[in-house]
Amino acid sequence: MDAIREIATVVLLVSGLSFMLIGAWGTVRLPDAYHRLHAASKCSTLGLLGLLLGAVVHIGTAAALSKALLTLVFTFVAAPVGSHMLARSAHAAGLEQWDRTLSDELAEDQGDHPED
Amino acid sequence: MIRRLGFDMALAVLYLSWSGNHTWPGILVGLVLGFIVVSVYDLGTAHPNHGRRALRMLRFGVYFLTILIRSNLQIAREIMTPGFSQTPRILRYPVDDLDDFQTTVLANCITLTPGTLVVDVSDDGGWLYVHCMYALDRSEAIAGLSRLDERLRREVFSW
Repeated sequence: MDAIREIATVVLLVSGLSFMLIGAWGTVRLPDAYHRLHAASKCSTLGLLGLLLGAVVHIGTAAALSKALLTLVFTFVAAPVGSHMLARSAHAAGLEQWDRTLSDELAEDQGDHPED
Repeated sequence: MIRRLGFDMALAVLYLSWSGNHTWPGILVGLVLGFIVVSVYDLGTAHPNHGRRALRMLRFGVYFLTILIRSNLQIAREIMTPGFSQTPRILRYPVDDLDDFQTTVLANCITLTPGTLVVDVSDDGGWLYVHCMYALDRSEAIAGLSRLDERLRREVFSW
């Protein structure tokens, strides 16, 4: 039982950490601000989920679970909102978009919104 | 309704913090008590179906976890393989029949699902602007968004 628990802990921690690492790598590598935000918001959320689950499995008390759940709720609410704000300010500041971007309907609509 | 979203869980948390009974049975007791309280309240409303709603919500939670994992695998593949295969667009998506809270929930879900990221919401709250990583075909990308949207409406926003 203890061995299974240890293995589960290690698997969860390692997968959480690797998603965070991939997210960090993507934040550096991807071509423009929006793509980088994709990496930053998605990977850090799932990475944190893995880390917290690993901690809960390792500690194994209900108190740890309730704290982890609360942290997760806050992250799932806060992380996307943070990335909305960053994406929004990126667009407002007119950051250069990747040259293969096909269309930008937000730029088209700025000033007047369509009524259809 | 959305106002009762997770109310029984909030009651369970209250029970836990006040009883100081931080054990697995304690959590179970708190959840059951919260569920009973909300169900009794629910019986007095026009559409009593708290149990079914809780089930639907649970199902959406599971679905949401799977798409979160899928979106991570997708972007991990994009990051770790050489070259880029994205065909990004910023699309507008209509949300004028949702209230502010529902729009926020939808926007958060869109951001955490594969290949999509909410950039902005129009001033009148009627449109979300979504950055899609794979949107070679515009209508297909919109259809992907509305699948999530419909699921959210059916399982979380509805009665």
